[in-house]
Amino acid sequence: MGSTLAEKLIGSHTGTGSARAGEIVSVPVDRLLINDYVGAIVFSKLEALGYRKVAHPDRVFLNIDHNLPSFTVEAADKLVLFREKAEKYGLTHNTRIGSHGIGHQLMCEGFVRPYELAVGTDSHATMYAGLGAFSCGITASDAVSILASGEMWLRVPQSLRIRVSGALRPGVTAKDLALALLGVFPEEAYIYRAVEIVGPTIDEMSVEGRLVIANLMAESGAKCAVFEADEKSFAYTHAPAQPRLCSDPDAKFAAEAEFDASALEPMLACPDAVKNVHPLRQSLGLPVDQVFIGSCTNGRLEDLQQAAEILKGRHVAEGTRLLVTPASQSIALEAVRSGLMQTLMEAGAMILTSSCASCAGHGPGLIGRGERCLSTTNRNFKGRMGSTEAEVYLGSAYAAAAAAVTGVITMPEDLLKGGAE
Amino acid sequence: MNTKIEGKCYLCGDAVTVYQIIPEKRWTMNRMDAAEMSRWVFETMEPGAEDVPGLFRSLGYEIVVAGRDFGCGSKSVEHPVAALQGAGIRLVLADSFSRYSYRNALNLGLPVLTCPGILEAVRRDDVLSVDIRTGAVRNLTTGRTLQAEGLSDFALSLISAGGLLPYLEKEANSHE
Repeated sequence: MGSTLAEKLIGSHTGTGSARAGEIVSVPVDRLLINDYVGAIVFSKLEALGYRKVAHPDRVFLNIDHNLPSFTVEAADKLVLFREKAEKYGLTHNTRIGSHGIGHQLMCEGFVRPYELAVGTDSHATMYAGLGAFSCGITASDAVSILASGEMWLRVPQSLRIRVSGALRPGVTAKDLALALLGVFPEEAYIYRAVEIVGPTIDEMSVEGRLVIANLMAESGAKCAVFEADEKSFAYTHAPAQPRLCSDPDAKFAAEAEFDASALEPMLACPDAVKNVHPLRQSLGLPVDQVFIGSCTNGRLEDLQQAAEILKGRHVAEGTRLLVTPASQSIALEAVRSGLMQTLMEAGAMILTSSCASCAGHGPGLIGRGERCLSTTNRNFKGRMGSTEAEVYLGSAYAAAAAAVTGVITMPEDLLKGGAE
Repeated sequence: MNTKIEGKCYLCGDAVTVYQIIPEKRWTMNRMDAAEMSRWVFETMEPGAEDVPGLFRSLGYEIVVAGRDFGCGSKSVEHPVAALQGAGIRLVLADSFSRYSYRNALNLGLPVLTCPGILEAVRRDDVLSVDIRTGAVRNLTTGRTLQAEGLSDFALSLISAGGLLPYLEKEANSHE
């Protein structure tokens, strides 16, 4: 019997050179992200164990993003703590204000490479799979294990496979596809599985688009997403090209499905669950108080470009506010250089410095009682972005920009085909 | 290692979230204080337990029985598991587990067994006897038996050590 791509990616890291679904294996970790949300607990546990050295400091990235710049003394203290730990353990990859950003994004800006095993102390570490790495989220004990020994245990997941074909229609994005892919299989099927996403649509898609899908797959209940690496993946990560790894033709999948992307329309995850996905047209006309474009899911250049396509020459509607948070400082800088930032600001966007901002409810841009937000982020649980009496709809940057311009949920294509007024 | 666990069952339904195990306002990300958190376990699930410190613990449950996707909410934090342990829980049986909750439980040394059909086979306050190695489940109250997925040798060694970190410590010492 052949191997799945997930088995190959894990197998290349085991002592025996192979891995089978169901097995528990110990694997060396190539890249580890520790963020400010869990970091303090990681270091207190490491020190309780009495470790004075980190096994592979060069493989660790220590990042502050949930609370940046610090707006509580507690957060400021965490920055101090991280600085002390970085020095103590020789962790040279850490937050530098001025080249800061959301940890998951920074992991994808030249740190993680295809075929590596990369994890992070946060659920959306599934994103690095978009580069062709094996990745998943971990918690504090796992991070301590990796710091101390360089390794972690993994239960090799069974795989699901979705083959996506057909070209996305104008105004339809990787985000819409990602939302739709959460519902391809019954909910129960995703739990603890790897979701392999392949096909001509994925081959055509930009690496940024793949990152969106890999990121959002965390919401399916799966352990991880898995993508094949191609020339684009190696170019994006500035890594030397390697042969393409795929699942064997006789690999065993728990379930397989075909998805026709050409029929896909703009989608929204409606309150209060990410899996509550419906075509955007079913929510047309709903007034929106806040529009948020940002996060590790959709705060990249491609998203800012999509937003600018709609916002150019237009203005945010009276009574609606638009917040834009590029996922990293380098994205923000590129947006300045290319003029995107000017377009967004002329349209009335408020620009925030790169961080998780209000996505996880810890940063600026929270929503109040009775408000509705259309956001490009990844979660819409009750109270996630602020008040428990507020509603969050999740969609693409096109959908977000269209709602910002009209003040209500609007079909992006209505504003795309006409161009600027 | 004794792999038998016997105790009184607390019943939850399907898709119990980490926030239902313990509300987020009861933890801090600066530390993990199981004793403090344990005072608030299931406070929003158990009638009359909200804001009453230690109520769930005082009921004397040692086994939690749940339906599908126990501990969902995709939260990459270990606090809910530590809180359960602090409240005297020694075993969780469920139709299925959310990935983080399963992993976190083993990492903190709390046995978790996947046991399809368990929710229907147990009533609150029933006493179960479970072998976590073989997965044999016996409901001592009703006499009914069920088969859960037993824990692998690796998982058992985590449980026996008291969790991943004590396990690592033991491994490191045994190699010196």
